[in-house]
Amino acid sequence: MTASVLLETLVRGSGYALVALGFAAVLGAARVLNLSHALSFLFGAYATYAGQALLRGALPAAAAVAVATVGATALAALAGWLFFRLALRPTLDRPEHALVLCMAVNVFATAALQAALGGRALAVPPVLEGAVRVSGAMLLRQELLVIPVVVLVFPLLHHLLSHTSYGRAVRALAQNPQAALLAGVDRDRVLAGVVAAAAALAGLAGALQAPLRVLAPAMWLPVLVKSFAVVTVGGLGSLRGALGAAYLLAALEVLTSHALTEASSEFVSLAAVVMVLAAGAGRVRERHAFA
Amino acid sequence: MTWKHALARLPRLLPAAPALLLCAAAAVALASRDLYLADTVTRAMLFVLYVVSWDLYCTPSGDVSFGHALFIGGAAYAAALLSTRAGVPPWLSVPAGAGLAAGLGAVVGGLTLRLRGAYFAMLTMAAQIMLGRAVYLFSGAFGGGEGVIGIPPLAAGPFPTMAVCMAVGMAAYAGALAFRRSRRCLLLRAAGADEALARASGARVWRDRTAAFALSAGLAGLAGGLQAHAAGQVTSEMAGEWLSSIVVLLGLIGAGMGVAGAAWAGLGYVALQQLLVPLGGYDAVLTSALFLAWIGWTVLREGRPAAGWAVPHTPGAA
Repeated sequence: MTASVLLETLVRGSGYALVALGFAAVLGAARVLNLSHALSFLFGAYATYAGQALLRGALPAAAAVAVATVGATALAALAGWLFFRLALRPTLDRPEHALVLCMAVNVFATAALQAALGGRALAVPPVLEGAVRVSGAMLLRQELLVIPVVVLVFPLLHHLLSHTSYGRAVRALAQNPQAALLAGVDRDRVLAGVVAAAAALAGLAGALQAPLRVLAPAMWLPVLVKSFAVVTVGGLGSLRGALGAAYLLAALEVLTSHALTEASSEFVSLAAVVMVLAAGAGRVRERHAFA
Repeated sequence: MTWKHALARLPRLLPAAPALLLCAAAAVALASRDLYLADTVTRAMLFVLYVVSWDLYCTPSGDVSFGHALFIGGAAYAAALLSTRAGVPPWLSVPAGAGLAAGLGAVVGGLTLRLRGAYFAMLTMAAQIMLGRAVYLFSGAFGGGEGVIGIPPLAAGPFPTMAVCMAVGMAAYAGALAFRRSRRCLLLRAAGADEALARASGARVWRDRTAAFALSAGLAGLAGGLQAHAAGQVTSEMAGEWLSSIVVLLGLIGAGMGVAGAAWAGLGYVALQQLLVPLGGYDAVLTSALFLAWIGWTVLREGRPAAGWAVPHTPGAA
C-alpha cells in the first residue's frame, strides 16, 4: 500500500512538475504570468494524437506514438517561441495585459478545438504496453515513463541555469532586469528561449499524458490552476520549490483517491489550491526567483 | 434650452441607452406577442446583468475575477434546489441565491483581496472549477450533467416572466450606475490606482474591496437565480469555465465605457449569438476569434486592454 502510494505520487507529481517547472521559469525570468502555458500541455496531447494517426500506417503503433511524442514536444517549443514573439514580447512591460491576451487566446483555442473535434473521445495508444503490480496496485508502464523524464530534465535544467552563460543571463533577468540589460543581456532572445523550453516541457507532459486520458479541449484549465498553485507554494522561479510542491500536491491527490474516490481527489486538491492561494504563500517567496 | 445645450447633455444620457434599447425590444415583443423575441429579451437582460456585475467590482478595482460563473451558477443551483426540493417560491429562492452568492463573494474577497492581482484571479478560477466538479461529484444533489429540471417559473407565461426579469434587471442596472457614481466606487478606483495613497487618505481598502466584491457577486447571483427560474432548468454550463471566460472578456471589452460599456458588450454578445445561429457549432469559434482580435488589437496597438481598466498586481512584476 505504502509503496503503491509513493509510486503513484511520483508518477502524478512528475507530470505536474514537468508543467510547473516551465511555468515557474517563465514567471521568474519574464515576470509574466503566462496563462497560455497550459495550452502547451493541450497542444502536446493533441499533436501526439495527430502525429500517431499520421504515422500509424508507416510504423508500429508504439513507435508511431514515440515519434509523435518527440515531434509534439518540438512543435510545442516552436509554438511557444512564436507565442512569445507575437504576444508576450509586446506585453513584457505590461504583465497585466499579457494576462488578458493569454485568456483570450485560451478561449479561442478551446472553442476552435471543440468545433473541430466536437464531442469525439480521442484515444492515443501507449508507447509502453502493459502494467506492473506494486503492493497490490496496478500501474501502467506508460504512466511510469514520466519519472525518468523528470529525473533527466531537472538536473539538465539546473545545470543549464547554474553553469552556462545562457543560464546566468536568465538568472540576471530574473533578479535585476535593468542591470541585466545594462550588462548587455539580449532580453528578447533569452526570454524567447525560456518560453520555448517551458512550452516544450509542458508539451512533453501533454504528450506523455495523451495515452492515459481521454483528450478534451478544456483539459488545460485544471493544469493551469494546479501549476499556479505549485508555483505559489514552491516560490517564484524556484525550480526546486516547484518540484517539491508538485509532489506535495500529487501526494494529497493520491492519498485522497485511496481514502475516497479518484473523482473526489481532484475536488480535494482544488480545495487545497484555493487554501494555498488564499494564504498567498508565493507572495512571501517572490524575492527568491532563481536565487 | 437651446439645441446646443440639449446636444451637450446627450452624453449624460448614454448610460441609459442600453436600458432604453432593451425596453423598446420588450415593448415590441409584447405588442407583437412574439414569444421568441420575449425569450431573447429576457436572456439579453440577464446576460447584461452578468457582465455588469463583473464590471461593478473588477473595472474600478483593477482586479480580474476569472471565476464569475461561481456566483452565477452557485446562485442558480441554490435557487433551483430551494424551489424543487424545499418548495420555496421564486420570490424567496432568487434573493436567497443572490444572498448565498454575496456571502461566497465576501468569503473569497475577504480571503484574497489583501493580496489581489494574480492570486485573486487564480483563486476565483479555482473556486469556480471546484463548483463545476462538485456538480458531477455530488450528482445526487446537483443532477450531474443534466442539471436540475422542473424549476417553477417566475410568472405564468413568457411575457410576465420577461416583465419580471426586465423590472428586476432595470432596478439592478440603475443600482449599478448609482454605485459607479458613489464615493465608495471612487475609493475603490483610488485604491486600484494607488493603494498606499488610498490607505494614507483614510480609506479602509480591504473592507471596501470585500464589500464591493460581495455586491458584485450578489448581483451575479441575482441574475443567475432569475435565469434558473426563467429557463426552468439549471445545467452545469451555468457554473462552467466558458461562461466565466466570456463574462471576463466582455467585461474587459466594455470596461472603457463604464457600466453602459459592460451592458453594450453583453447586448452585443447576445445579438451576435442570434446572428451566428446558422453557423451551428462554429459560432463559439467566430465569437472567440472576434474577442481575440479585439483584445489583441487593443493591447498590442494601443498598449492597454481598455481605457479605464486599472492595473492588477502580477507576482514578480516590478
